[in-house]
Amino acid sequence: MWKRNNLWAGRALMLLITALVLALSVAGTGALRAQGGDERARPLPLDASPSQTLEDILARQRGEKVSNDIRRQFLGTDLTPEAAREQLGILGGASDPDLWRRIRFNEIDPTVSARGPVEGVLIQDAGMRWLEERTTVARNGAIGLGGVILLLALFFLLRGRVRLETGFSGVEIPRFTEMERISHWLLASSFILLGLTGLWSLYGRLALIELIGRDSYATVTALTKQVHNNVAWAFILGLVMVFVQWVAWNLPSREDITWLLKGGGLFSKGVHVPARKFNAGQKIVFWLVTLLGTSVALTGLSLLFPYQLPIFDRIYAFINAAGGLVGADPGLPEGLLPVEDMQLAQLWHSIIAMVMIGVIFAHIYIGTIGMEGAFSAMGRGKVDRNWAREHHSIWAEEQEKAMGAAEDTPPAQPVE
Amino acid sequence: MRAFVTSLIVLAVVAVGGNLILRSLPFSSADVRISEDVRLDE
Repeated sequence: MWKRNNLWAGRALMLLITALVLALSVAGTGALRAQGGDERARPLPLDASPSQTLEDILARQRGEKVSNDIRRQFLGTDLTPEAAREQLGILGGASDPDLWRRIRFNEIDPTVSARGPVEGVLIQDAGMRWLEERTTVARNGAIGLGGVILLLALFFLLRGRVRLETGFSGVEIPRFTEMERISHWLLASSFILLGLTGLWSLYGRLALIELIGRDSYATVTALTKQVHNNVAWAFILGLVMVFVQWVAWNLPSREDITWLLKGGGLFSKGVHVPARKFNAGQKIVFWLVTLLGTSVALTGLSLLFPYQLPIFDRIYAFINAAGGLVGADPGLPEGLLPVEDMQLAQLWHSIIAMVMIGVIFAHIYIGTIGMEGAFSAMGRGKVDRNWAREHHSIWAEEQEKAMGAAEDTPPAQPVE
Repeated sequence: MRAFVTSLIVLAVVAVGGNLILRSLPFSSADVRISEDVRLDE
């Protein structure tokens, strides 16, 4: 009875974690759609009132949709493009609301001297929405990661450490080669550095700047930005190395279904589910890290080379075209400004990184305090024979046969 | 332990090497010198 209750509790816990990860992804996608739906594609509805009142201004500051009629009508009478160019000269722009209102509604076409793909964009409405969405991502991410930590703590309290039930045999089986472990630790250490510096970037201004002071914050942030940008290459290298070495071991197999149905035996003492070198849970982590890692790397590259590698405009166009083939209309905005593309890349980068951090929390837990005897696999490259038999029985049998065959093989004789 | 230390060395080499390559490019947010090349009056 106790085991059955534990099993159901385990399944409920897994469902909850899955729902949490999905909710984070869906919330992020929703945010991106809203962000991508620029005013250019869907103009704000204008009401009949032409007046600009204090209420209008306050409502606009609250993010509500307010008529732009009055602002559009009062653009100044004696402002020529030449005059505008004069005001935006090298001495800096004068604080002239008529001028900026004209720029805001594309009534003049100013000449700008800065070179680059965003040179003509002086005011971008979507920037404020991006800032709001970024704050939303930060808040939801903190809730999500806090939830994962709480769930793991709860699991540890209810289940305790997964003990080696048959005890340590003292006989060790090689589990991972030196190159596999170097690749794993390269990926892991770079991910931890990227995670810490990325979280600093996301939460610094929100939560840390008041704690350590603005000067210290600026110094640390400049350093974390350099670490984040440059360690990214090590992460990409680690991702490729791990993928190449382990992809064959992580293809789905029949045993995975049984493993998943029984929750890997993690939720019930005395239950051991047969598994190959990697069980279904590890395969899920592998594919999540591969797919999410690729996604976070691509958006990271887009951010690393500002305006040079727009990614979302192409993806949206592809999704719209693919939807058209099956008669659907995704209606994603196309022709994004370069800076809009980077804003979307930043949001997506943050959301995916948050989901990855949550997944890796669980991975670190089960590889360290969560399961007895597990860490030595990556620590020393070897595991106890009983650990292998309990958690990866099919792989253990193959290894023991291979080791036995090697021991039985007589040493090679030199050729006369 | 040896694998972990080796991975840290690889990480440092790749990060520094990547930075040197990035700094030689005319664009990228990893290149802090970019601000020196911008003149607003041109």
